[in-house]
Amino acid sequence: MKPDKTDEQLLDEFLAGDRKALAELARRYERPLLGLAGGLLGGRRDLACDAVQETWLRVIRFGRQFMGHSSFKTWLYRIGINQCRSLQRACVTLAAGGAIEDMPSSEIPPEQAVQSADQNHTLRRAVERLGSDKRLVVLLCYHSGMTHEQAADILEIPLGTLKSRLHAALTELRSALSAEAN
Amino acid sequence: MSDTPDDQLENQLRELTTWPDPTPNLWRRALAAAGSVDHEGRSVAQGLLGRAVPRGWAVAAMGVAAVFFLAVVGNFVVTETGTQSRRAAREPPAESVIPESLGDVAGGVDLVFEEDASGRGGFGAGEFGLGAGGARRRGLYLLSVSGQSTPGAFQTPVPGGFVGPEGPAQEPAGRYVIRKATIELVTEDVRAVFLKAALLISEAKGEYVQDSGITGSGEKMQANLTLRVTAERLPEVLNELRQLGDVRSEKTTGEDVTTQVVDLEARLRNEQRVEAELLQLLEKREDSPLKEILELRRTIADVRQAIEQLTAQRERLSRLVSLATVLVIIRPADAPPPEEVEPGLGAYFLDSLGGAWHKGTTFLVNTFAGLVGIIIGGLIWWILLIVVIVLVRNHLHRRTVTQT
Repeated sequence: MKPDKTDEQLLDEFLAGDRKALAELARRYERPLLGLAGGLLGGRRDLACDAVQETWLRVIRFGRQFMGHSSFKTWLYRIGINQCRSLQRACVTLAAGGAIEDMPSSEIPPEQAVQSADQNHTLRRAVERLGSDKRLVVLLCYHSGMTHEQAADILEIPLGTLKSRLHAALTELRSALSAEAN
Repeated sequence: MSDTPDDQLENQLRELTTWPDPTPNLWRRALAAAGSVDHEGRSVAQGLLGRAVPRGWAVAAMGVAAVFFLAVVGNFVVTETGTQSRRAAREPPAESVIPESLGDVAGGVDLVFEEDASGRGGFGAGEFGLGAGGARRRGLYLLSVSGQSTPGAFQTPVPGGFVGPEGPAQEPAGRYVIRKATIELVTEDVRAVFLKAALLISEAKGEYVQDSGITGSGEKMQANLTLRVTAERLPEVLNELRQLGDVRSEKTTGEDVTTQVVDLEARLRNEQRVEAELLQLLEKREDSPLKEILELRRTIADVRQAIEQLTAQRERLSRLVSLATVLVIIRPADAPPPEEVEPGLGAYFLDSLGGAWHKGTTFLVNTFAGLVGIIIGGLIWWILLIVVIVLVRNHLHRRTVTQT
């Protein structure tokens, strides 16, 4: 464990050949990334795993291109979000071609199917109905340990824009949930 | 304390982005995938070694590659430069043997006339050398002249024929050159200089004023004078003309007519021989029928006409060779120089465009030739380098896969 080192130092060490540095980075960010990817990909854990693995692969391959203009965390999340978007597009294409009939239900395990009746599932469906920008903002802002400033930095939008989108998204969610409850 | 609906919503949203299970260590799979799959996004050293490489090692490897490349290119450049230097030393540039004016001619054309016992003449081994740089080329000039040579044919003095080897008009090496000079003088008194220039000729040596005239008046006055002076006195006359005023321009040209002279002499000798033979024949056949005698006389007359024509041509050429032509142009001092027409913008643009195109294409061709030279010249090294890279890469790749 190297708790005293920054993310950037760990990246440098990994690029110099130290694999333990990558393990430490993964210990810090793999689980949060999986959570965010799961939220963005409609709860599909397999897709979330694929997205995060691809994210690490790009960190390994393109780590030397990280110039330090932003923090490592910001850079890592941008990669992760881009991978989720790519997977979403691929899934939509496959579904349109008939390869996937019903993407979420086909992979939902039995215990998750039981949960589909609870509020969490209702909320997830409401989130999925949001626009892509609002969905991304709302999931990122309520992601563990993420500040609004960091979220705005990752999405490369002004803080005011982020807040307005978040407000709009929450309003839309509340009305959707109220309508669902009624 | 119960949560408000907003708090519940926020908590549920947080749960949506929470991973409840243990992490599957996806980074290990990514690392294994990165080690076994090549990708253009990696650095050169990383791509070569198949794994992450310390930056210092990468820089060192790039430095070694750069030094290797420079060594190959430098070797090629040095080799090419040396080759070109040696080539230049062996063969002086063509410009050095092409005189731009008569003043550049350092050597001369030597034509050695040889005559054998049978009376057949010919121009044998001769040599000519041109260029102030001392570069000389030797060659064999063989101009066969059939028939008997006429002794002293080349020594006919002015005005009866060519000036011989001792004569003034012939070049020291036996060349026959028609010399022409043009000199433009500027002076305060045009008329006085005009008269002085006319007095430079030496009538005793056969020199004369071929043409003269004064036109205009005041600032526009101009005097023209064409002098015929002996070739050997041309430098002297030009020097004296230069002292009469300020020289605005001067030009000297020379036309080598040696070939024409030799050809004329040969044809003349041949016709004279035919004439002699016909005369002998006429003496022997005095008792022949009148018709044949008249036919023979008509033939002799034709031959004599040809001889006269050739003789006239020879004399004309002789005068041109023996007497140089000097054109003297005299203008007043404050006369404006003849205006030179400035080229227009369009002509300037076209000239510039043409020059740029020529330079560009030349540069392109040189660049391409240089690249081809580098590629071909260093082919062995390139192949060797590629083989080494492939071997090292395969070796390290196998080792990385085994470790993974």
